[in-house]
Amino acid sequence: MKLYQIGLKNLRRRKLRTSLIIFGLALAVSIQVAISGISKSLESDFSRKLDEYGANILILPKTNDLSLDYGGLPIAGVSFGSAKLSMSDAAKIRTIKNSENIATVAPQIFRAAEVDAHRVIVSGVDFNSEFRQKPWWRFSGSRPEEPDDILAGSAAAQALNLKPGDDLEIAKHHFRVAGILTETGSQDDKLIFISLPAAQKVFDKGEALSIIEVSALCYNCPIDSIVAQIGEKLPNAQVTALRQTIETKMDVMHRIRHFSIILSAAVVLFAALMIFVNMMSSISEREKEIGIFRAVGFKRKHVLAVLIFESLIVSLSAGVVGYLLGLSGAYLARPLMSLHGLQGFGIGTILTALALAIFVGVSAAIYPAYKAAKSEPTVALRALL
Amino acid sequence: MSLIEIKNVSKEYIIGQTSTHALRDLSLQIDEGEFVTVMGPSGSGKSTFLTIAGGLSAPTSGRVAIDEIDVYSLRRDRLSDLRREYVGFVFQSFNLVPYLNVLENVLLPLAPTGLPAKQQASVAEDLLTEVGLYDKAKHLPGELSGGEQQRVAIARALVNDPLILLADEPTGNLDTATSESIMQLFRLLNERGKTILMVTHNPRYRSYSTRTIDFRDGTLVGDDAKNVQQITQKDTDDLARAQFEQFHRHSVQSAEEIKRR
Repeated sequence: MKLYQIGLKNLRRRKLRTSLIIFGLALAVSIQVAISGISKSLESDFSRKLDEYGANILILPKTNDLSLDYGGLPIAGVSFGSAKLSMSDAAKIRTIKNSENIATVAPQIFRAAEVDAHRVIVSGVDFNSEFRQKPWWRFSGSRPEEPDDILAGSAAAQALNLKPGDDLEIAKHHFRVAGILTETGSQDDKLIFISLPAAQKVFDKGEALSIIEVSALCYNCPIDSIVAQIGEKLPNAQVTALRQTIETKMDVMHRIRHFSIILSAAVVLFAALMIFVNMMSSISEREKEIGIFRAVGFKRKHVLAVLIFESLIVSLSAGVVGYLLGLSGAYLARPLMSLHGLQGFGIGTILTALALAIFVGVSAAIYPAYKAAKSEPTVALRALL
Repeated sequence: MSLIEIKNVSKEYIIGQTSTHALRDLSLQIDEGEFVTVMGPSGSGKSTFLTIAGGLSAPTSGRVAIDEIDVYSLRRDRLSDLRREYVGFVFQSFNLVPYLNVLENVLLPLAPTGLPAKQQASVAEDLLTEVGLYDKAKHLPGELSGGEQQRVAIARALVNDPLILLADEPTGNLDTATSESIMQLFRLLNERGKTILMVTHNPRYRSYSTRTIDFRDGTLVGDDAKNVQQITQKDTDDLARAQFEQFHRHSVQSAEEIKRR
């Protein structure tokens, strides 16, 4: 006969009560596991979408002469700088250590040009990268597919009186207006976008680029690290992180995280209270039995060991059941939350679920168990005194 | 030399504004091998005396020594050890743990000792055989009669082979025939050398004891100490076996016989 066998026997005797405590604690653990998993997945999913939503790193040629602006950010005057960006630089970005974090690399050329007696900025872009990086772009007409197709910003189209299908001459080269961008409220409204190869040809710039915009997925890595890595690969470039974009994104992430932590803490606290009340009532019911233990020579630590062992078994079971319930709950909730995948359900979460269940279960049981262990053996004889 | 020495012991219970003197300046010595019947009306302090003598409840004043150990000067843990080593308790309401089977109830005092399981089982099985309940070792207390439950309680009280057996109205919940059998078992144990203090209301059971003490209002009013018969160990064993076998004619079987079945 060992002390733990007494605990096991008692748990088996009180099947309903034991099951209810396990279920209650398991429910709390499952909610914590599900919330934690869903918020991690949500965070990752949301972060990925935010990362893809516009550039968060700008790469400019290293120069002191800044003459043009792009969205409030200075664009190096390509005519004056000694250092230049090229297509090979754009390719090098994909070779950094954290290359898997690079979502989009969008090389661009900017050039002022005279079109129909209007001076406009023509931007040579890789349309595929540009559309991926600017999912908010809407346009009338069609998406540029041919080398001589152009996409006109709404203000530029209005100034030049353009509509889809029109012909347009830029620096003695003929283009066709494939689409007109609807108003974006950004500097894009004033630009005329042509394909990068066309721009290099029209402006005779060879492989030279004005700017490279990069969308980095920074969910798992610090943006500074990516900026430094790009800086190492492109020593002649000025690599800048768009702090405001990143910080806004991080703020949203933190809010999601804080919300899930507060919700989990409330649920866990509720479970702890439930177990505490249950243990107190259970100890009260077992007063006589504990008196018998003490009368036959159990020390306080022996009584404590039996009771803590019981709560440990209950907590461990609740941890396992809670993890499985939480995993199932998150899996079921996944389509409702439009999540692509589930994260945070690995061995680490199993261990966390077990640790949480044990911490909550045992700590809620300590005081009632201690109180019970302190009771004197005369309780067993009380009826006779 | 006295096995239990009680000197100037008083016990006062205070409930709210009211204080009750359960024992008043009690002094008493109990020698090894005595079978003491403790009598008195309800509320006379006999059960309080038993709990104080057995190390279950500290007196308000005075000294209690068992085997020359000052019981209530011991730290709590040492007091638990003393109870386990020296005293076995038998209660009126049996006080078996309902979810442990008969064998486990008997083994209960050994659970904190770290004694190997085989050794524990061997001791408990021998005791169950002695009290005629070996074949009910796997039964739960709720499946036993009152007399059988009390036998289990006695076996549990003996599992540590204590010097002293304290019994508080052990026949209080039993019919006459069963009570007689329990009393005979106590006499047998006393003849084997156990010192027994038994609280009872029934004067018939004085005849089983070697000494009777009477309480009134927390004071000792009678002590008719009898001479303990001086008999040899062999005489004791022979007598015990004869009485035991006579009483348990139908139920006493050796553990080996039952295992063979």
